[in-house]
Parts: sequence; structure tokens; C-alpha cells
Amino acid sequence: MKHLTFIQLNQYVDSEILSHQRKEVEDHLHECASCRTQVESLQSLDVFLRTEFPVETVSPNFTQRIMVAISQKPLFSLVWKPLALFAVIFIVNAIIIFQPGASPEIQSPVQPTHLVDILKNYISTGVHIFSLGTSKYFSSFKGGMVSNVLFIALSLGIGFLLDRFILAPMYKRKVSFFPKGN
Amino acid sequence: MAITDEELIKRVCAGETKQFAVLVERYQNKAFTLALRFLKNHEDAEEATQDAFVRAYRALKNFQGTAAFGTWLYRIVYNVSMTKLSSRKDVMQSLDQTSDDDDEPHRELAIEPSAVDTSYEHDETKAVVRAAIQKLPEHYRLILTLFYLEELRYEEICEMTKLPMGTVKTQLYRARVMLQKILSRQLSREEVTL
Repeated sequence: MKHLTFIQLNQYVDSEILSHQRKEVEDHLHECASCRTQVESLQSLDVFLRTEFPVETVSPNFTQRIMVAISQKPLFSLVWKPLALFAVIFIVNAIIIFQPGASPEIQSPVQPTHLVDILKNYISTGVHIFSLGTSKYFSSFKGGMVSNVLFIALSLGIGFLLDRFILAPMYKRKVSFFPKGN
Repeated sequence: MAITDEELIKRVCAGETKQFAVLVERYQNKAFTLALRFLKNHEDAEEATQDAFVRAYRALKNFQGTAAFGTWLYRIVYNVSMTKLSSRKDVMQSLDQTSDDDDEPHRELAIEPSAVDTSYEHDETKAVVRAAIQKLPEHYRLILTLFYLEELRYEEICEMTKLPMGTVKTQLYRARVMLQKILSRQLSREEVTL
């Protein structure tokens, strides 16, 4: 007599057997004492594990910690998004300024020759722009209102793309950006 | 009468954030147990469980309700724990390492009937089972937890672990056999010492 396989035994005990196979298995069990003993043993172990399988306990205040964590906005969106937008606008500004023909009022005070000078130039130009004030800067830009609107739209667009395709996926991956809440 | 998970989820999505605490209370221990079976470290497991709950909260509006909330949450716990385990660079045993001898007759791996009896019934049973589970290989520990604690069906385990159905069935059987052997050894030893 061919005995039941591991899988048949498991499926029968776990009630995962197909209805047409159940009849076949039950017929075999009716005739085979060895398989019957196996099923009884498995059932006994199954009942035991269902009642005795240990559940571990989290430490006190676990729920409160989670509630604190979810009530806070992720650190990422609070800090990184504004920083990223600021950086994008700053870079676009600088690119436009360094273009030949930009207003002399916002031209760099230092002509860059070495890398250090370029960096100095970049920073000092950035400071210069903000000290002049945006309205003055925009009004000095050739093309008037249309150019200014295009400039702002371009800055926001790049910021949006940066956030959507680079920063947001990073945010999803890096769970460590979340505040721990404890 | 306790509020159902579905109702709680609706309330949370409608802005009653505090209701999420009820869901956390309801599932935290089982979710934590699953993470602990992976990570074997209380602190890491708790951190993984917390991450999983925060992710679940943020994704709650996308929860379709096709599976039970518990199953959905355990899947998140599973993924977070896997990521954490990989980042630890532990030597991971493949979940798919056993052969699929589905059609073998039961003789060679037969469960010893004598070992599965009422001798388990004493106060320290859970501690003994816990210790026995810890001695199992990772993939057996995990599959038993998913089946007995999280009460997942074969199909749900396949979906979560990405293992073929045959492998899940074989591993579950082998895990039971191995656990039963460890249990019978431990319990007979305890009986001698008690």
C-alpha cells in the first residue's frame, strides 16, 4: 500500500486539501493505521502549537512612541524640501548671473581664476543677490515681467522635479529620516 | 463590542488619528514577535515594528482592504525586517534551500507519535516552546511564526515570502518535525530535572 506523502499529510491537517483529494485521503486513512497515526500526531502537535505558540511583548509605552512618531511630520519634508528648493533657485540664479550680458550691478566682484576663487565668487555673488533684494534683481533682468515669470516657473519646476524624482524616492527608502519619537 | 479593523481604518483616514492607537494595541505584539523571529534582538525588532507601524499609518489611505489589515501589516513588518537584516549583513540562509521532495512518502521524516502527548502541559510550556523555536533555522522559525502566530494560509505565506507553494508546504512539515524533536528532547530533560 502506498502511504500518504508529507504534503498530503500537511494539507489534510491544515485543511488546505482540495475537496476532491480529501475523499481520497480519508479513504486511505480509513484503511491505513500507519498514516492515521501520523495524522493524529500532526493534529496533536498542531493543536499544541496553536495554543502554546509564544507571543512576545513589546516594551511599555510602545504605542505612545508610535503615536508621537506619526504625529510628527517627517524630518525630511520639514528640512530637506525647503533646503532643496532654496538650493535649486540659488543655482539657477548663479547660472543666470554668470552669463555674459547680465546686469553689471549683480556681476561678480571677483574674476575667478582658481577653484577657490570660483567658490568665493559663487558665495559672494549669492550674498550680493540677496543683499540687493529680489525686486531690484528681477527688474535688472532683461526681458521684463515675462522673463521674471519664466525664471520663477523654471526654478519651481526644477525644484518640483528634484523633489518628485530624487528626493521623494530617497525619503521612501530611508526610514532613518523619520523622527524616532522616543 | 470591539470596533472592527475596517471601521478603525475609516476613522483614522477621516482624521481621527488617535484611533490608530487601537490598531497598534491590537497588533503590536504579534507584529513584534514576527520581527523578533527575524532579527533575534529585542531592540532591533522593536525598531522594525515601529517603522512598520509608521509606514502602515502613512500608507493607510492606500490600503485596499482586499486582505485583512493584519496580513497587510505583517507584510510590511516582513519587508522592514528583511531590509534591516540585509543591512546588518548577516549571513542569510536562503529561504529556498530545501529540496522539494513533495511526493516522498512520509516514512523518513515521520513524526514520532509518542513525543506528542500531554506531557507539554505545565506552566513553563511557553518558555520551552520559545527556546525550541530559537533553535530552529531561520527559515523554519519564520514559516512556523507566519503559520501559527499570524495565522496565514499557505497562499498568503507564498505571497509574502515569494516562495513556491511546494517549498512552503515542505518547509512547514520539516519545521514541525524539527520542532517536535527539539521539544521532546527538552521536555524529557526537564522532567528529569524537575
